[in-house]
Amino acid sequence: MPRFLRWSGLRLRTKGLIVVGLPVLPLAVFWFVILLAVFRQSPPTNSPGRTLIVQAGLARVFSDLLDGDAASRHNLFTDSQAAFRRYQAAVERLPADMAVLDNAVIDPSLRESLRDLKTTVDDELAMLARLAGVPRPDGPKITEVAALARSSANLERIRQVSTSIEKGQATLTSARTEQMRKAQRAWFYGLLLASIVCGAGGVVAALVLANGVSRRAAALSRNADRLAHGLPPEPLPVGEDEISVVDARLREAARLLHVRENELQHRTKQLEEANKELEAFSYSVSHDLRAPLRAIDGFSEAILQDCGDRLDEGGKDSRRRVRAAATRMGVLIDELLILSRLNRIEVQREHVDIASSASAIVADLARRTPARSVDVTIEPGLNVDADPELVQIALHNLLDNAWKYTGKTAGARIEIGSTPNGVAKVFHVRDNGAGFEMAYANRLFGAFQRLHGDRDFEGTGIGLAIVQRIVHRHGGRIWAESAVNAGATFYFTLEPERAGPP
Amino acid sequence: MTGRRILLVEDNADDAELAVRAFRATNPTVEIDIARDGPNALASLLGSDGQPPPAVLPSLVLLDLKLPRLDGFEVLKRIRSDSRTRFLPVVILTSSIEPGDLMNAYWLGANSYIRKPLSFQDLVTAASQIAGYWLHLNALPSRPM
Repeated sequence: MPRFLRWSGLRLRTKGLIVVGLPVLPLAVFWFVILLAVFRQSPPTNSPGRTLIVQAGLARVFSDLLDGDAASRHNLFTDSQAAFRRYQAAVERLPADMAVLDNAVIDPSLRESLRDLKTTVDDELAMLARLAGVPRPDGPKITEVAALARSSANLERIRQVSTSIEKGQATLTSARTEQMRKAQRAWFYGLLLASIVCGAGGVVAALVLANGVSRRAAALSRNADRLAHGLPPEPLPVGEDEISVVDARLREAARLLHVRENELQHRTKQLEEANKELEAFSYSVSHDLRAPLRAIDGFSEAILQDCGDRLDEGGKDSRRRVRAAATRMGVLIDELLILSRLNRIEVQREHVDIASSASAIVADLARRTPARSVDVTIEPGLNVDADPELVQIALHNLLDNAWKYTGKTAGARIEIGSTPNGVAKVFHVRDNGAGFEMAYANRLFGAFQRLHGDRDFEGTGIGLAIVQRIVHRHGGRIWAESAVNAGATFYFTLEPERAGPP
Repeated sequence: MTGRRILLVEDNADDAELAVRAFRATNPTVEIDIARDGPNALASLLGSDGQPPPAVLPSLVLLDLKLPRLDGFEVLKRIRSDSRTRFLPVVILTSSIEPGDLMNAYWLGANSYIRKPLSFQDLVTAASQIAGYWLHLNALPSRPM
């Protein structure tokens, strides 16, 4: 069976049109039939209005004739000109009144009576003409007396015919009224039945449609759920409408998603492997690279112990340099390890008292270099929600830098503080040390990037890279302002800067 | 205080010698036996097919984690699972600072965990502290008083 002949093969639009059209179309046909019947109905022969016109016409004809009769008699006996004029006026009114009657009476049997009436009226007019208008000095003749009698008879006859016509018309009207009432009732019940049938049909069709759509939509929704949970979709209830199209798209989307998911899993696996390799590398660096350093340091000490008496000053200086180099390489390895571990560890935020951390670090620096005298200002109560271990490392690097680069400044000052800027608290570490050229500011935070020679200030070039990575792991930002010999200020935030209050 | 013996489990000859020197620097009388790998260490503590168990256990085991054949964790596990050595003090001396290694070592029953210091001076300090605590201060009486 072709698709457009099956209900399940229809689109929702078609189904909707059918559901709406099902009650509307037959009703429209019904109305068409009614209107046709109304317009094609023959003009009514018997309406109540027509009856009134007939009654009035009959009364006026009769009264015209009565007037004429009375005036002609008057004229006959008195030869009065006024009576004659009244007779003439009555006779002149008659044709118009007869015409009205002639128009009003349509029913064939009544027309028969009307013809009878007309004949009698014509005869009466002839009688009246004989009675009136002729001067008779010697009184009425016998023929005229006979005409008088015939006129009276005519009038009586006319009254009877009029009465019969009037009654006939009244009967017709009441029959017509009864007929109309019956017709009205028939139309009413017909219309009611048609409406009920069409309405019920519409409701049934709508229920079928709604039920079908609802079941299919529910199945679609279940499929969406199943696909979201990674289960295979179920077939939809039979049908080929727009919901099937959506279902097909959904399956396709789920398939693509599945493909992507596989790709993602594959990449995640690769990434995990790479991470594991990196960890193994870090472990290896930590373990294997430090072992020779320990030997270098330890055995250069052993040289001093075992044959220190045979070393001259040059030899002792070389030994010191070997040990210093080993120490520096150890620091370098440790910092590289920290840098690589920063990518892997989770940032665990808790309340960090920056002020007390900073003062502990400063105290440690002061203890290690007792010759230095630095004026350190720490904003009291400085705190943040951040990873305490990472913040400690970052602060240590920044303060260590500030301490180091103020090493050749008289009246060295270091200041740790913050400025609330509405979005995220901005911390700063400010010193009045050597500073740097702002032109190189973008190279500050790269690993192994140094703006000062080792001769002036020792360093590995990793410290600020570590600080930057810690700040970035917190979602923050770090930047610096400086000028040569005018000190440097490092600004940083430790939270993402959202575009407004959270 | 004489007769204190340490078993040093260390595969790196340089590290082993430096450790011996560091201990001698502060405790000239301490005896240090060296095992080069895991099975060797276990044999000298618990005995093996060709070797009877020692009459007297060392006072302290210094254990590296990265060892040939049996690694330090496995050695530690076996030491702790044997009734004779269950309470033997074991100090991990390793170059690893992996938090996982540290947690694992304490979980398996290590008494202390020390990262091999880079500088010999620091190693001497560490050795004197280890000896001071595990050989002298914290030593249990070897026989009933």
